[in-house]
Amino acid sequence: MEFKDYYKILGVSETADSAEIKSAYRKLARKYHPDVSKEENAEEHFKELGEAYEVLKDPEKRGEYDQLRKYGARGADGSFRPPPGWQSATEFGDGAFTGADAAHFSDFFDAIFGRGGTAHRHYRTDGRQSGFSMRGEDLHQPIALFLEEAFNGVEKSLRLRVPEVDERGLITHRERTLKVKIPAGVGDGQHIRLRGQGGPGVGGGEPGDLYLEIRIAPHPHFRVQEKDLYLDLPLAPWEAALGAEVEVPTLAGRVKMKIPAGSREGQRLRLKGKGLAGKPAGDLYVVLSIAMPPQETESSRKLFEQLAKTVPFNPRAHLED
Amino acid sequence: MVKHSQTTLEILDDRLRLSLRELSVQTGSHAEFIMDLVEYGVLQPEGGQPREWRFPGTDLILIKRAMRLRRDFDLNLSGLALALELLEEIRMLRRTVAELEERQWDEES
Repeated sequence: MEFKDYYKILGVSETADSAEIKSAYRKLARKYHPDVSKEENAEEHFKELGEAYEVLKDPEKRGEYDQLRKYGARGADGSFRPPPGWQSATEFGDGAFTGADAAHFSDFFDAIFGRGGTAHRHYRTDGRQSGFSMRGEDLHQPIALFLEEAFNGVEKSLRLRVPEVDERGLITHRERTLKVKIPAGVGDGQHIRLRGQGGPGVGGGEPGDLYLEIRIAPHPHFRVQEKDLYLDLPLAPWEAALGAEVEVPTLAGRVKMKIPAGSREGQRLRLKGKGLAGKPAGDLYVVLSIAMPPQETESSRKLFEQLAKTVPFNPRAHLED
Repeated sequence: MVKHSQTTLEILDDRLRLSLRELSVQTGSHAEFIMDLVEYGVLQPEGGQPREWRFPGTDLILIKRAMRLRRDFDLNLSGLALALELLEEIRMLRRTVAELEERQWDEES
């Protein structure tokens, strides 16, 4: 079993007082909490952090940990063994559990403090426990999709790390592959629930659920806002001035669209129901921009000169006093 | 709902409507906590009385997140309401930044 240096995890000294420990935890929790962090492996870091804080914030547990840290046998490879006959006085399940997500704590924690409800010592080898049952853990996993996949639906193979109770009653993790058919019309940040695909229940408890969080990769043309899509559509100056019929891409294929005469930069035209699915479906907003011709020929320069002479237009009128 | 193998696949969006009791059971949260979130404006169910409240499926995730944040940061309700609001704003801003970066890269390449 690997030794966990809780002081190192929290970045505090062995003599740190409870205020220092709390402050260190809050800073690191802000950095690694899966709900607020965008760091890689945030969840793994946060589990370690939660475990370290659970021990060091409680004077009794901290005292026990300090003793073990001092007297436990440590191998050269970092492995750790508690002294023979070790028994914690603050075992979880005796009211010592303080609300942290104990299901994620390490084997090291488990060996020292036990784990109320989920500790291996509380299981029977048939995985049941008399008079006690607990629902399995809910699992959360992000799933990345291209916008087209979200729009049309797609079948994906997911690799999950699922907790399970082995024949000795210990919690282990195993890799599982799950095929999921994502239905058409899911949006960014949306969640899909697969009932019963989470961690196993204990003592006849129901299994937990699996929550998949949809993350749609940025698209080169479309921006997603809730169920609506936005597309920047460049127009030639004369198309904007005179009006035109142009082809625009949508996720369901290209459609023809009428640009009204006298259109302006930044103006939005709506294609109703051409966004992501829903009740009602989202819309596609086409945002107009005016593009200049790339190279001016002599004839085009003359035409612009003619425009400059004949059209009384001051685009900076609003900047003048 | 789509049946997938032996499991039920549900999209948790505003097409799914849940009662206070269903939300409480499915999130493992006390009904009082959900009622507090309504009082603080974090959740805005349809219906007048708690018994008539109907919440969109997205609130299920929001409540689970609220429970984690309250537990891990020891937040009071007003702090929690503010944190949830700001987190949503950050999510939208991060998305906008990612899209702008994508477009900038396209223009440069």
